[in-house]
Amino acid sequence: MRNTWTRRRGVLPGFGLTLGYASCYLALVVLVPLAALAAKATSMTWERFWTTVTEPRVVASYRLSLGASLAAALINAVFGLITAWVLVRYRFPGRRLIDALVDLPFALPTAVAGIALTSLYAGNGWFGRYLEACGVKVAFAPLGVMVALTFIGLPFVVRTVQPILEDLDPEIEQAAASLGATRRQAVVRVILPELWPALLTGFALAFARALGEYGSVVFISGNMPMRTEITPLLIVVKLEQYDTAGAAAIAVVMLAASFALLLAINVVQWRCLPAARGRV
Amino acid sequence: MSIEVRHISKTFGSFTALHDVSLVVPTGSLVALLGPSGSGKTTLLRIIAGLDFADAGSGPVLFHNEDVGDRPAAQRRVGFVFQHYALFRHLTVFENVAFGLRVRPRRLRPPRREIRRRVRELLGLVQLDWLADRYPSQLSGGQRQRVALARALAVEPNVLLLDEPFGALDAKVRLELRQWLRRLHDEIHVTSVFVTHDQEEALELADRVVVMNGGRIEQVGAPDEVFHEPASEFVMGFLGQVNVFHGRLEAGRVRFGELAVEVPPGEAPPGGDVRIFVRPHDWRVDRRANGEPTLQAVVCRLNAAGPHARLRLTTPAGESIDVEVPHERCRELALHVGAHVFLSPKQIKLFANGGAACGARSTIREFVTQEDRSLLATGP
Repeated sequence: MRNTWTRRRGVLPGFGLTLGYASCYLALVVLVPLAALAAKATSMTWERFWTTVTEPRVVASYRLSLGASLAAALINAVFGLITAWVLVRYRFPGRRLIDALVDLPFALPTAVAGIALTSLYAGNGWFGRYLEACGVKVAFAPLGVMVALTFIGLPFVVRTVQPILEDLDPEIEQAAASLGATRRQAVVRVILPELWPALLTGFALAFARALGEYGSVVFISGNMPMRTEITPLLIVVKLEQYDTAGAAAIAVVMLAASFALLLAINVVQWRCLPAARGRV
Repeated sequence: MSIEVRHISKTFGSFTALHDVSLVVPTGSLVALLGPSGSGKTTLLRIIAGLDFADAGSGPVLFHNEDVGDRPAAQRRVGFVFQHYALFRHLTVFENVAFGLRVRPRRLRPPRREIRRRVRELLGLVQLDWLADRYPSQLSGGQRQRVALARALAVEPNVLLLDEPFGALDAKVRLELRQWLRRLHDEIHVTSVFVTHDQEEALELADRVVVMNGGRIEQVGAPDEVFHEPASEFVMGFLGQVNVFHGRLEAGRVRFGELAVEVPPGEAPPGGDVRIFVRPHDWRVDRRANGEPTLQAVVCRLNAAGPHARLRLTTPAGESIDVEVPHERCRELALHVGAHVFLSPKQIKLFANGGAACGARSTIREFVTQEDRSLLATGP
């Protein structure tokens, strides 16, 4: 054991120091608060915990939070990929401007985004007016939640896919073409497989971000119990009622679910991409 | 299948990569496009492949007398080997080679078993059957190169095009692969064109060498032909080291330095100022003046590593001359740094100054007389 460690230090110095720093930092910033959360939740009896987290209003919020986040992440995966493609592959006036715009959802206070989206999609807003005439209700409906989550998640996919696409050797497409592949075959068989890992990462990040989003959603959703309440909102509601333990309980379930999903995505990334394993 | 291009021009913005280039590649031959970077050789190869297209107004690209000029690469059935291989990283070696067969339209696609058999056969041909399940990242440079070649051959190409095929490999592997490629070509006889900037590679590997410079073809010929009968100063300079002198051609004699060499009539440029090229191995080196007029020089560097001893000499006028002598000769003369030597050219090559290529092989007939030398010394 000692031997391998000394040998490793010789190759790339600083292993002990950086590992120590990283784990200390992770513990302080991530693990301790999460442990405190779990500890808080265990102050309840099992029965109370179970009733709190399976209350119909809470269960409805899980469904909305998970469903809308997944849908938003999927939409972002598709449109984020297209946006990244356009930004990398074509040169057109205003390209840099669009490139900068992509980051806006990162920078904008989420409440501002929520208010802006609500005023657009409300029944008297620019878009809402026509959509409601067609019978589509966006603001104050689950669809609105999805719109808000799509907005805040877009940069994740674009920014993870963009550098990979930039690094993609144009020669591999030419190679595919010279071997007789049609454009569609080149995209499906050569380009997409190269992008899968980045796309999955972007998807996972957008999804995780959407699960935790609060600011922009509470304005557009209307917060109707059983219909348009997201889980983070319920946690805030519980806190406002000084029910810290109840808030912690819901948070723990949310945490477990997010962790399980992110883990699953990582496993998919690992197992379905044999090339990732082949890469040294 | 023969390849012919006629009057091809290609510009990128304000840069002209090819000026009105025409070339014929006979069926079954192995042709090298040789030139420095920026000479247009890769552009020409890509236009043949259909990865680039010639400017409007250019002539046709013919495969076996059939114009394929406006067909994209996918419909030309060319095997193209990229400089950096461009292997598909997410596919195994086997799948890389099978790619060209798998993407065929269903009615043309061979059955699964047939694909497997052909891929195995090709991997056997490039001696990589034992690596079929590896990924490209797990292979060495030379192995990747051979996978790229097998992948290109899998579609049974009409022509095989290779862009700097050995450019990214180290010297030893490069040499081995070069010989291997030559054997492979003798085995399968597919019309092949490869691009290189390495004159040695072109001269050793190709049946015919196309020397390019500045978007134009300078000379086309068999390796010994372009080496011994270069059509231009550029070809002379590019195919190996040369020493260049300025001189004058008068009355059938060319004078440079203290030497004068008779040039056979008819082979000489029109006259006046000429440039004289002498290859390093075309000098006779002596330690003693043998009564004949020679160039005097001092050895300022001596490198005995390699197949010949290489000398850098300095003349009293301060000119540097590179000379190659066999090791035995070097020992016989007991050469060392600082030694005085007398040089006379065994063979020279003349080109009219600044003018069009005008070559002539000439051997020395007569050395200048004392009278000539004094004339040169007092002359302009």
